[in-house]
This record gives sequence, C-alpha cells and structure tokens, in this order.
Amino acid sequence: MYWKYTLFELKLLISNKKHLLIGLLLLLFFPLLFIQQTNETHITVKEQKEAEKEVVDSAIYQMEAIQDSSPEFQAMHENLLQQLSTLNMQIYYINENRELFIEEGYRLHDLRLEAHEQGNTGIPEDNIYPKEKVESDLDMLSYLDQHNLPIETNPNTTSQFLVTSVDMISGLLLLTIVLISGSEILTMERRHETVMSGIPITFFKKMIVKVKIHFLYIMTTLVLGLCIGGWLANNQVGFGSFQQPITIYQNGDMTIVPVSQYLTYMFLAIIVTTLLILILSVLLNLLFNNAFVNLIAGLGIFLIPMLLTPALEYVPFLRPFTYVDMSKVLSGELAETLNQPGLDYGYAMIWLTVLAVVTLIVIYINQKLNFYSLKQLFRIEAKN
Amino acid sequence: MIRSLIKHEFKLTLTSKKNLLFASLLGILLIIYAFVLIDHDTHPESFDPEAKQFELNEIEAQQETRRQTGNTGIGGMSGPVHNNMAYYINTHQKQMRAFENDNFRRYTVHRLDYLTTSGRTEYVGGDLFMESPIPGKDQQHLYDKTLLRLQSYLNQDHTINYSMLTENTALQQLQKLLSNSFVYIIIFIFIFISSDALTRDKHHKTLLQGFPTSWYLMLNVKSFISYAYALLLTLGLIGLGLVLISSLYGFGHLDMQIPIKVNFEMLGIEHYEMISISELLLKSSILLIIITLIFNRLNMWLSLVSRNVGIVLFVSTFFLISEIIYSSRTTRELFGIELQYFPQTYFDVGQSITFEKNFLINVDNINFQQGITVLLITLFIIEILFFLTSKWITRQKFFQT
Repeated sequence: MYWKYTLFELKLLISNKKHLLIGLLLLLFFPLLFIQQTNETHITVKEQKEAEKEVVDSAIYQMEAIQDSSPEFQAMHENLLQQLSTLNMQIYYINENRELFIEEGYRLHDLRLEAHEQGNTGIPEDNIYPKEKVESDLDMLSYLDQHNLPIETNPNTTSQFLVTSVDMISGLLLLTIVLISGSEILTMERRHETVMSGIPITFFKKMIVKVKIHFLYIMTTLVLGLCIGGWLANNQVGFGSFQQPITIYQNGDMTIVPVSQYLTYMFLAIIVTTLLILILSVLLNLLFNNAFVNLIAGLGIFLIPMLLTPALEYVPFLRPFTYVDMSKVLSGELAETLNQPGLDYGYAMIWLTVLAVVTLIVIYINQKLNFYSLKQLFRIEAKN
Repeated sequence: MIRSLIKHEFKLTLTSKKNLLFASLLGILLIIYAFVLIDHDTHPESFDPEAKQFELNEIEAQQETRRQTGNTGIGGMSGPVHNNMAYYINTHQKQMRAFENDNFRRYTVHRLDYLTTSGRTEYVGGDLFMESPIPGKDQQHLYDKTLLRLQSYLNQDHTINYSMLTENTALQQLQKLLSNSFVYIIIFIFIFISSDALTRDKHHKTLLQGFPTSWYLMLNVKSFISYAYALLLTLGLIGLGLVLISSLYGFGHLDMQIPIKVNFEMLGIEHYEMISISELLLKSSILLIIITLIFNRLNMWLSLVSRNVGIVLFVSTFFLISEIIYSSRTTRELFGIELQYFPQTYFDVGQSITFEKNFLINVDNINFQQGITVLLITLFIIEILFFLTSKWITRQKFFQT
C-alpha cells in the first residue's frame, strides 16, 4: 500500500505542469548564470597585490611627513620599506616564478607579524594590516605551497563556478523555488477528500511520502542543473581543481578548506533547508489551504528577518530565520553583522534542524487537535 | 449586464486571499524600509560631527608639529601642506558650527566650497564603486552630480535640511526607487495581481460560461479590473511610503533639480543639464503605465494559451528580469541588434529617462521618446496577438480542458 501510494504521489507530481516548470527553471538557471558570470569582472591576484602596495605606500608617505627620530619609529619605517619591496617582488613574480612568489609571501608575513609585535608605532590607523588577515593569509599561502597549486585561478573553471552556483542558489532563491514547489502539497487531499481519506495510511506516513517525493524531484533537477553548468564551464574555460583553497568562518576564526569540502557543506545545508521548507509548506497548507498564501507567508517568514538583519541585535528570537542564507554564514558575514561570534556552520545547521523539528511538532499537535475536535467539544459544553 | 460582471470581478479580486496577503507583505516591507533600512544606509554626503571633530583634533596636532619644526613652506612634491591643512580645518569648523546651529544653507555653501577646491578626493580615487569595472568614471560622475545637486539647492529659495543633502526626503526616496532596479517591484505587483484573473475561473466553469457578453469583452473586463486593482494598490503603497518617510525625514520639493548627463562622450560638470523631480515623476509614470499595460495584456494572453497560473507568472517574470542575464557595462548589442530597440531596456524607467543607461554603456540613443515608441509598438503587437488568440481559443475551448 505504502509503495502504491508513493507511485500515486509521483504521478500527481509529474502530471502537474508547475513542477515541469520548476524543473526547467533549475535546469536552465546554471547555464544562464554561467553566461552572466563570464560578463562579470573579477579581482585578480595582481590587482589585490597592487591595492595592498598602495596602502603601504600611503602609510610610508604619511610617516615621512611626521619626521619622528625615535628608534621604534625608524624601525617601523624600515619594516614598511621592506614590505613595499617584497610586495613589488611578488607582483613581479606572479606570472614568472611560483616558488619565488611564495617565498616572498612568507617574508611578507614575517614582516607584518613583526610590525604587529612591535605595536605598529606611527602607522596611521587606517593603514594597519589586520592581525586576523595576516594569519589567514599565511594559512592560504602554506596551503597553496603544500598542495602544489597555482597562484592565479580563473573564477569560471568548473570548481570555482560550482562554488558561485551554490552560493547563488542557497538563500532566498532556493526558498522561493521550494515554496512554489510545495505550495499545493495538500491540495489533492482537500479537493477530493472522500477518496483520499479512504486510503488506509496515517496522515504522517502520507506526509513523509509527499515530502520525500518533492524533495527527490527538486534534488534531482538541481544536481542535473549543476552538472550542466559544470559541464559548460569545463568546455568553455576548464576543469580547475577541487583542491583549491577557500576561506570559511569556523569556531570564531577564518579557516582554510578545500573547495570539495566547501561544496559538501553547502550541499548538506541545501538539503536541510529544502526539507525544512517542505515541512513548513505542509503546515501552511494545513492552516491556510491556498497555494499563493503558502508562497507569500513562507517568503514573509524568512524575508522579513533577513531585511531586518541590521537591527536584529535587539530581536534575538528572529535570528535563526536568517541562517538559511548559508553562504553568508560560511563567509562569516552574518556573524559580523549580527555581532554573534559563535555563529558558524555547525551552529546554524543545528538551528535549522531545530526549526524543522519544531514545525513537525506543531503539525503533530494540529493533527491531534483536529482529531479531538476541540471546537465541537466546547460548543456542546456551551449549549448545556 | 457588464456592470454586474465588473462588480463580480472586483469583489473576487478584492477578497482574494492571495492579493490581500501580497499587499500586506509589501506593506510590512515598506514599513521596515522606512523605519529601519533608510537609517542604516550610508550616503557619501552624510556628516558625523563627532568623528569630524576627532579628525580635526588629530590634524591640529600635526599642524602644531609642523609649526614647531618650521615645515610651513611649500614642499617639492606635496605642495603647501601646512596651508592646505589650515584651510581644511577652517572650512570644516565652519561646517560643523553651521551643522550644530541647523543652518544648512551655510553648511552647504562651505561644503560645496570645500568639494570644489580640494574635496574631490572624497569621491574620486577613494573606494567608492570598487565593484565596478570602471570605478574612476563612476566616481567622477557621482562627484559632478553631487556638486550640481548642492548648487541647485543654493540657487532655490527653499529651506535646506540635512535629509535633503543625504537624499532621504520622501520625494528623493521615490526618485531613488524609480532610478534603480527596485522599480521592478512596481511592475511585479501588476504581474502578480493579473496572473490569475482568468485562470481562477477554471474551477467555476458554469458561472461564467453562460454569461451573455462576447468573450473578448469579458476578457477585457477581467483585464481592466485586475489593472485597476493593481494601480490602486501601487498608488496606495506609494502614498503610504510618502507619508511615512515624510513624517521621518520631510517631504522635499517638487521643483528639486536632478542633474542628467547629456553628452556621453565627455566627462565634466559642463556636460550636464538639470530636470526637475516633477518632470521625472511625470515621464516615469507615463512609461510605467505603458509597461504595466504590456504586462497586463501579456498575462491575459498567456493565461488564454497556457491556462496555468505558474506558467503565466514564470514567463512574465522571466521577461521582466531578462535584462539581468545579458547586461554588462560593455554590452551594447543583443543578437547583433542595438539595445535601444528592445522593450526590456526601458524597464529601468528612471535610468532611461535620466540618460543614466547611456552613461553606463556609452551610447546616446536610449531616451524617453525612443522608449515610448518601442514600448507602444510592443503593446500594439501583444494587443493584436491577444485579439487573434481570443478568436481562436473561444470560450468553449477555454473551459473544455
């Protein structure tokens, strides 16, 4: 019976034109994103190094205007001149010699660390290179050194493009797609109540089957779309390497992980978010029984806290709803704007799971109340 | 007969759960925007007296050292540093005093004086527009526009206040909404409301099938009602926004001037002209009316052909945002045809009226007249298509499946 019901639900899903459209959207999204990405400009390593050089340059210029002759000040001035020299050497070596570029990078790190140890005497506030960045730069450099990876990477290779893709799809876009997909998840039950309530399966089993079918459909089309996008990137630009480093925010500081691990993290997050939204759709369908209300109410629940992010310091109970934007959690941007240092991947995932469980409990209570039909009980009481 | 149809349709649209919920969501977003987001927005003209005082104190200390060491002359490369810094401190102290006394006319005079003499570096060469592929050009553009804007306040007799300078007054916020891609939200309201005007009858076959009016007329009544409802909703939301923002930041004046760049080949202050905010509002409402009509009729046509709300919403929204896919600062053609001939170029209403689009992609042919022509032709084509389709897919055919 269970299996037959699953097949029945599958048939319902396939015969709905809306799902065909969602599938098409997910399949088309990534190739279109690739076309859009090739039009974008990206900051190259050379431009980044030039920018760093300008900061040091302006610091030296400002220090020379002050003309202090104390030994600490002079030492710092000398240090900055050395930094400028290594930065220039790095710019020269970028496309010439990988080993020497990395060697100069280590030297630069030592100089910056030394400057921090001596207290940055005399360097203007804005021109100090942040200490956290010094450390994460070293991690990145030694990762590149150990894994024998090139310094410059094209942002449109398959591996990098997949990172952009999952960043793009997670968050509001995925939310909208899943909400549209789940907007009519219980419509059949309501419209043909006599047939559907005759099927000898409990409501919860039916719900599990529905969520499973929708989930599998979205995941299949999503993965297929990602494959098409990745294949296009491979054909047009190249495959890249899944060993490439990427910085994520974890346990209060920035950590380097390979792209493959980042993609796994994001994919797990997408799975949990999709399940959460589907369960929420079931609840909204139970309460309102309207496809559009499902979409708008669902969007409202997540969109309003997201827009309120700058003011969420004062409304902590709305915070968990913003965690669905997992790329911001991983980059540490959300932890910074919410001023919540403990907010990293694991924390956000636990909260999303908690939200899903809470929604399940609410559905359960709703069903139990319907079964006992409290309204009717009270009405009889009132009559007597 | 028609009157009762109109009444019936209007009641259906008005009491539709979907429309009410959508309207309340937009209302909530608007309130959040007015009370929270404007406050957290940073504007390059915003002024923080405490931070400025701190900066001035630091510079004053440096000046003291310069005087003690005798470095008050003209340096080889750096010029008359001591003199420049003395001017900097002087003008900013005046600005600060004017700011504290709420004398914003005086503040603007000194701010403008500083910006024209040595304040260019606050805009050009800084970290504004770092995401853009051509930051220098964008910075210069913003700098020129700011100079002209401040000067236009001084030329007029209205009282100047701080929210005018930081572009937070109600009218300036409306101008900002029209001039960036958020104007798509207004168009989307019309798409969303009219998306189910026809398809919702699929489940009430008997009700409308026997109605004694022609099929084309009935479609037109439905389209008109959804358009009127969306128009009322949009006007209501804009009115609410104006009231909310006015109460917080003031209303602004209808004859405020907006600089527009008329010559796309040259940079510099002399290549700009000014239009008033009322002219911008008038022109953009004309364009918006045509655009929303296009989407209303397109939705009716799509509903006739597909009979599915999802497809209608998806195709219309895709058409609305299609420009995002191919647009970049160097794209001037699509399939070998210049962008001025595509209707979606003009969906950014404010940008095409103020020639901002010309500035962004270095062309000189995207303007208001061209926009009206292209959009009217599009509307005409869709209208003909709709008429023919209504003859082909008759009432019987529509309700049969």
